[in-house]
Parts: sequence; structure tokens; C-alpha cells
Amino acid sequence: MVLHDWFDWSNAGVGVVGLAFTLWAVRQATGARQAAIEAREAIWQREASDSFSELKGMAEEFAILLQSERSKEALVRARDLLARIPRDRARFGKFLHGDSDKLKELESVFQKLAIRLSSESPLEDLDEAREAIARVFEAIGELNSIYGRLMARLDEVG
Amino acid sequence: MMSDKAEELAAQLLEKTENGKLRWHSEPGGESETYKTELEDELSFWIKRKTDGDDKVILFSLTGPKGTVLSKSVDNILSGVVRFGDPVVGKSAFPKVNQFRLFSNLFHAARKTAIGKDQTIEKAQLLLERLG
Repeated sequence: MVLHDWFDWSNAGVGVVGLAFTLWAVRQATGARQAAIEAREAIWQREASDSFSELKGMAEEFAILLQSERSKEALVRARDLLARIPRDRARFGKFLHGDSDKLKELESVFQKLAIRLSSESPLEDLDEAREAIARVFEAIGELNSIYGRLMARLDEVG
Repeated sequence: MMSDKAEELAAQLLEKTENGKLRWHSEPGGESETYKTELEDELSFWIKRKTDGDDKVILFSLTGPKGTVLSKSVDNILSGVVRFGDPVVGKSAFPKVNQFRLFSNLFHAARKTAIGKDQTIEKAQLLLERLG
């Protein structure tokens, strides 16, 4: 009788220890999964900020070509920007928040300039050329701000 | 030093041209597009642009009774001058680009006064109105 009780208690003990161990293992696995998700998120966010830094560089090159009146080369750069902006907007949309709409506006700025640059006599009027250059510098400023905000979020994540 | 003087003069000419105080006229220049303005029949400023595809060369000069006193040539060829990826915002970023912009702005302003776009448009509108 005593022996039977002892077996019962030891079985129950093993069960409790097993359950505790299982719960601990599940918890560890969940934590590891969460850590993996967070790490992946941080990498993705890093990629987003790198991508916007590159985009800013492309816009700066476009500005130099526009200032130097190298219309054909500027048009190639404008087309590069027009291909990249919607792609990056779609790809990194979850990190962009309100900046997604701003990117749409910037896309429209570059689109108008690309159309103008593909015309017969692109930006041969002084006022028009000045306005175009000013717009591109504004766009660079906006891209820089977006890049800055992405970096700030990345810093928060750690 | 002479080059700085040319930039200084170009900046002054640009301001006066844009304010309507100075008018330029077109000059035959072969392959180049040339504009000239005279000051008291003795001094003349010339601005000439030669274009070959995307490549542009602008020649700015001042001539007196004894010939050319000062001249400056700028172009928009970037290879070896501008390293892409450098920051562009700020005047010191690319002196060559800024220099080209100054003379190109003067060229465009001179052309605008020489062609007299506004007057031509007004004249065209008047002629169309007359047709009824």
C-alpha cells in the first residue's frame, strides 16, 4: 500500500517536472522565434534605409546633370529614379508610414521633369531651368528626411 | 584672378540683364550662338555657346578698343571633375558646376532679351486679333 502510494507520487512528480520542462521549452522556442522575427525586421529596416540612401544619391546625381545641362544623361537618371521610387515604396511600405504619399509626390516631380527632358529643347528657358533645379533640390531634401526618419526608427529598434 | 573678375562681371551682367537694364543682340557666330552687348560704344561683352550633343562650351569675353581684355571659357563636361556620390547641396560642392550655371544663366538671359520673346508673342497676338 505504502509502495503503491510512493509510485503514484513519484509518477505525479515526474509528470509535473515533464510539464514544467515542456512549458519551459515552448517558452524558449517562442522567445527564439520572436527574436528571429525581430532580427529579420531589423535587417529589413536596415535594407530600407540603405535603399533610400541610394535613392538620395541618385537624385543628387540627377541634380548635378540637370545643373550642368546634360539633358540626355539627366533623362537616363530620371528614368532610373522613376523605376526605383515605386518599387521601393511598395517594398518598404510598412516602414514608410506617411512618407509613402510623399514618395508619390516625388515620383510625379521626377516624371514631369523626365517628360520635359525628353522634349526637343529641354529646359532652354532660364526661369524653367531654375524652377526645375529648385524642385530637384527640394526632392533631395524630402528624400533626405525620409532617410533620416528610417534611420531614427532603426536606432529605436536598436 | 582674371577668372574671378570674369565671374564677378558675369554676375553683375546677369543681374542687370534680368532687371531689364541691359539688352543684348544676336551676332553671327558660325557654329556658335553668340550675343553681344555694348557699353558706351567702347566696351563690348560677348557670350558665345557651342553645343555638341550634351557637351556645351560657353565663352565669355570683354573687348575694348584695342581688342580682347578678358575672356573666360567654361564647359559642362563632368568626367574627372565630379565624383558621383559626393554631396551636392552647398555652394562649395562643385565649383565647376556652379561656374557653368552662372555663365549659362547669363547666356540664357542674354538670349531672352535678344529674342524678345514677350514682344514677339504680343505681336503675334495682335496680328491674330487683326485677322478677326
